[in-house]
Amino acid sequence: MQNKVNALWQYFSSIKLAIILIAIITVASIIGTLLPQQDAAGEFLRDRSVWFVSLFNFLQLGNLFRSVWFTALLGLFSLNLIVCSWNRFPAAWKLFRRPFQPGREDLFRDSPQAWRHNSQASLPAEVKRIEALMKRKYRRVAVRETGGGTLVHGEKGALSYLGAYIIHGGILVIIAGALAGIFFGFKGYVNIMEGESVQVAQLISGRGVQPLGFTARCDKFIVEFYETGQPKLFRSDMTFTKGDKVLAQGALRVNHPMELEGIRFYQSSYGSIPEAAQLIVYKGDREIARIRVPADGQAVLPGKAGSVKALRMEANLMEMGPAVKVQATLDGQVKDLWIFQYLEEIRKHNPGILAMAPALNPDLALPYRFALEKLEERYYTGLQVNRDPGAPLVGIGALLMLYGLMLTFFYPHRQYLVRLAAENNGTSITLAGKTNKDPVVLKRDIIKLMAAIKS
Amino acid sequence: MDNTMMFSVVTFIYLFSFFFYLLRMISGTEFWGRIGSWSIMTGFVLHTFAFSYRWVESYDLGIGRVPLTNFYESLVFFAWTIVLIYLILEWRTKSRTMGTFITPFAFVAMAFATLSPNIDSRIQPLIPALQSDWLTIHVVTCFIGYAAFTLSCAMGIMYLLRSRAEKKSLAGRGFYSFLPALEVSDELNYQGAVLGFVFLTLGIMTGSIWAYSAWGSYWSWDPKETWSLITWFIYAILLHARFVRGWRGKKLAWLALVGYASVLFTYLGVNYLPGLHSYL
Ligand code: HEM
Repeated sequence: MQNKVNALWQYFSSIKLAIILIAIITVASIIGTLLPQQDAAGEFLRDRSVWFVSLFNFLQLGNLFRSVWFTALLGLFSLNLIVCSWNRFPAAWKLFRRPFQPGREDLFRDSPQAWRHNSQASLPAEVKRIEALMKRKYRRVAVRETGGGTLVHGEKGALSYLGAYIIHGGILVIIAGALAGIFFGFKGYVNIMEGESVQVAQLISGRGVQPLGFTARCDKFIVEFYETGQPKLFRSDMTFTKGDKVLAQGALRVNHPMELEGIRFYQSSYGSIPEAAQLIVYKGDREIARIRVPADGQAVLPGKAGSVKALRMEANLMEMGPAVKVQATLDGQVKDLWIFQYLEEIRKHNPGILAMAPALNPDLALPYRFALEKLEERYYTGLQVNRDPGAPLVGIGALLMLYGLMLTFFYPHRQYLVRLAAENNGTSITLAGKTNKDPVVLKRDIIKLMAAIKS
Repeated sequence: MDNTMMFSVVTFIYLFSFFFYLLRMISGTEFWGRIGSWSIMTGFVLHTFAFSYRWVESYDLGIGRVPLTNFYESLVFFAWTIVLIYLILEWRTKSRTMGTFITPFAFVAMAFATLSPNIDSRIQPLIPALQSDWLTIHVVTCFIGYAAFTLSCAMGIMYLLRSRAEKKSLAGRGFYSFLPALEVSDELNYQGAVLGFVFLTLGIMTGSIWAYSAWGSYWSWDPKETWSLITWFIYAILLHARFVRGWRGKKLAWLALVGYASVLFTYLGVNYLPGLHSYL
C-alpha cells in the first residue's frame, strides 16, 4: 500500500506528467477555439445527426472551458504543480541558504591570464581593501583562510533558486483567485431607463436575480459619435442611494467602471425606446395643428376635429426610418394608418411599398394628412454588474509570477571569488566565478571587478 | 509625403537589406554585409520617424492618440520591434548572419501592412472600448514578446540548417560557413524564448487588466485570449523541457518553430475563428 502511494506521489511530482498535462490542456484549448461555444453551439448543432449531437453534449463541447473534464484537467494540473513544488522545494531552499563551501580550488583552474594580477601591496592590506570593495558590490561577502591563501567570496542573486517556486506559487494563487470568483462572486447585468432606478441585477444565462443591497439610478445617458459615425463616448450619469442617503454619484464610462460595496458597474450597452411622437396635421394644404402623442396615450386636435391615439412606435420600421402607427378619429371616422418621418424619400426610392396595404397609404384619411416631425426617444443604459472577490487574489498571483520570472531569468545566482596569496613582497590576486545561468554576464562582471581591483 | 508613404518606402528598404545580407553569405564578401547594415539602419531611422510622424499627424487631425490601436499600426510596430531587437543583437554579437534570417520577418510584416488592400491604414478615432492606457501598454508588451519569439524562431531555423549541413559535411562551405556554431544558435533561441515568455506574460496580464476595466471580466476564454494562453503554454513546455529535462538542439529548435506558429495564429489566425470579438 505504502508503495503504491509512493509511486503515485512520484508520478504526480514528475515534470513529465507536467509536460503531458500542459500539452493536453493546450490541445483541449485549441479544440475549444475551433468549435463554436455557448450560444453559437446551438446554431452549430442544428441539422447534425443525433449521435453527433449527443456526443457533443455528453462531452460538453459547447461549453468546453467550463466543462467537468476541462475543470478536472486544470485540477490535475494544480495538483501536479503542488506536489512537484512541495517535493523539490527543500532542495531549492538548501541551495538558497547554503553558505559558500571553501576549498573550491578547481574553480580557479580555468581562470584566464586576464583574471590574474600581481599587486605590490602586502597581503593583509589587500585583503582589507578587496573585502571592502566586494562589500560595496555584493550582498553576502565572506573571508576565509584556505591552504593556498585567503579567499574573499561575494555573491548575489541566491534568491533565484526560489524563483521557479515563486512563479508556481503565483500560478496557484491565480487559480485560487479564479475559483473564489466563481464560487463567491456573480456576473449580471441591468438595463436602466433614464431617470429610473433598479435594486436587483439579472444574472447572466438566466440564473435568476441578485439583489444589490442599494439602489442604482441612471440620471442621464449620453452617446456621442465621431463624424465618421463611429461611437465616441457612452456615458451614464449614475446615482447610488441607500434609503435617503446618497452613497455615490458619478459618470460611468467604458473603461471607467464604478465600484460600490464590492459590486462593480461597467458601461456595456445602451438602447432606446420611443416615448412620444411629434406630429403635424394638415387639412388640405393648410397646417392645422402640431401635436404630441405619447407612446401609451392620445392627443386631441383643436376645433373638435377629432383625436389621434398611438398604436405603435418604431425607431426604424423595415429600414424605412422612424414611423408611428396611429388610430385617427377624424370627423367621426376611425382610421388606422402609419406615418413615416421620411415619407418623401420613401416616395422617391420605393413608391410601391405605400400601396401594399391600406394602412401604409399616406392619403388614407384625406382631407387630413399627417407628417411625423420627430420621434422622442428615451434612452436606457445597459450595465454589466459583477462582484468578483477573487480578483485581488488574481492580481497578487500575477505580481508573484512576475517577481519570480524576474528572479529566475534576470537575477541569477552569481558567486565571485578572489584568491589572494603572498608572493615576492607583494600579493598575487586571482579571480573566479560561478553562476547557475548566463556565464556571459558573469565573465563581464569579473572583468569589471578586475578593473576595480586594479584601480 | 504622409506616413503611409514612408512606411511603404521602409518596406522596400527592408527587402533590400535582406538581399544585401543574403548576398554577403552567398558571395562571401563582408562588403555586402556592411551595405546591409547601413541599409537596415536607414530603414529603421525612417521607420521610427514615420511612426512619430503618424503620431503627430493624429494630433493634427484632432484625434491625438498613440499609433498602436489597429491592425495596420500593430503590424508596423511589430516590424519595428523586430528590427530594433535585431540591431541590438548585431551590435552585441558583431555578427550579420542573423540579418539574413530576421529581416524577412520584418519585411513580410511591413509588406502585409502596406500592400494588402484589406488593411485600413487611415488614422481613425478610437471607439470607447479602445480608449485606455492599458491598451497601449498591452500592445507594446505583446509585440516586444512577439518580436523576441521571432528571434527565437529565426535562431531555430539557423540551428536546423546548420545541423543539416553538418550532417552532410557542408558546414564549412560557402553559405553554410556563415551560420553560427550550434551552441550559439541554441543559446540565442533559448534567450529569445525567455524574453518572449516574460513579455507575453506581461502582455497577457496587461490585456487582462484592460479587459477587467472595460468589460468587467479579466478572462473570458475568448479565442484571442485562449490562443495567447496556448502560445504561453507551448513556451512554458519549452522552458521546462530545457531547464528540467535538459532538452537541447534540434528538439528545442522544433519547439521554437511550433511556438512561433502559435504566435502567428494568435496574432493573425484568430480572426478567422468563430468568436465574439477580435480586437485588432
Ligand atoms: C504553465 C504553468 C507553468 C509555468 C508558466 C512554469 C514556469 C516555470 C519557469 C519559468 C521555470 C524556470 C525555468 C528556468 O529556470 O529555466 C520553472 C521551473 C520549474 N517548473 Fe514550472 N511552470 C509551470 C508549470 C509547472 C508544473 C505543473 C510543474 C510540476 C511538475 C512544474 C515544475 C517545475 C520545476 C520542477 C522547475 C525547476 C525548478 C528548479 O529546480 O529551479 N512547472 N517553471
